[in-house]
Amino acid sequence: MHQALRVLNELVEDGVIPLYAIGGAIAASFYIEAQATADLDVFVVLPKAAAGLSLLTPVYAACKAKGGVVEGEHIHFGSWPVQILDPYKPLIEEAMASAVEVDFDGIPTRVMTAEHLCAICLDTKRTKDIFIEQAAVDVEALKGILQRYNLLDRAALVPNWPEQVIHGNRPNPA
Amino acid sequence: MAIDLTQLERVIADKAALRRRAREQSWPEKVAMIERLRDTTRLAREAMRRALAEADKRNQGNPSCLAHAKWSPPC
Repeated sequence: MHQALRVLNELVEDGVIPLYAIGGAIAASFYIEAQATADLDVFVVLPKAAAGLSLLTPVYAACKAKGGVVEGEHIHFGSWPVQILDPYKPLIEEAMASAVEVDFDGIPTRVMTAEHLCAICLDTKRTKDIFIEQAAVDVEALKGILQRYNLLDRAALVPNWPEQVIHGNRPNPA
Repeated sequence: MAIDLTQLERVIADKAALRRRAREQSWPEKVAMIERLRDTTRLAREAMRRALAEADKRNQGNPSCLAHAKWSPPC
């Protein structure tokens, strides 16, 4: 994963992309125990074409020039297939903007916050309650995001979610 | 058969300790674990696919093998 992160940082330095943030299971694993996945999901603010469509071509070309191998929907860097994703909705845009700067083995990178990852899980109906179970989220912040994007009803569908997520008040960690 | 509660408690405690240790790992350690799991899963899948293909080849023309039995439309 080191090579992929170095290349992503270089893309930002070279001005190919303005910003990126890691999402998905790899980002979740920053906050909670390791989550199985086959690829690294990277959200990238893509350059726009005249018609407003997002352009992947310049990003793919730059990745290939830096040693990436395109295979289907992934760009492989070493053993890691990277999926470049466009922030396709306001929730993802907010998650990208509020991603936090972290360090991976000395390489600076950005990961989405636990609250945003949790909200994206709910939005995509992958209703995992592991973030709550492992006390990895700030319940008030999560509640705010769910309210902003009309996702509170999704939280109510998840078994074992504390009432506090839906109705406020911090959970008792004990 | 009676359930040995002491043993059950030990299993639960072991599992909790395992999960606690998993959570305490650093991010790069977790990613390395994900990588190992991903590679092992891929190898297992490839081995299963090879074994199925070989079994399929062996059973070609075997009338007792349901996978190769000829289907006839109902009268």
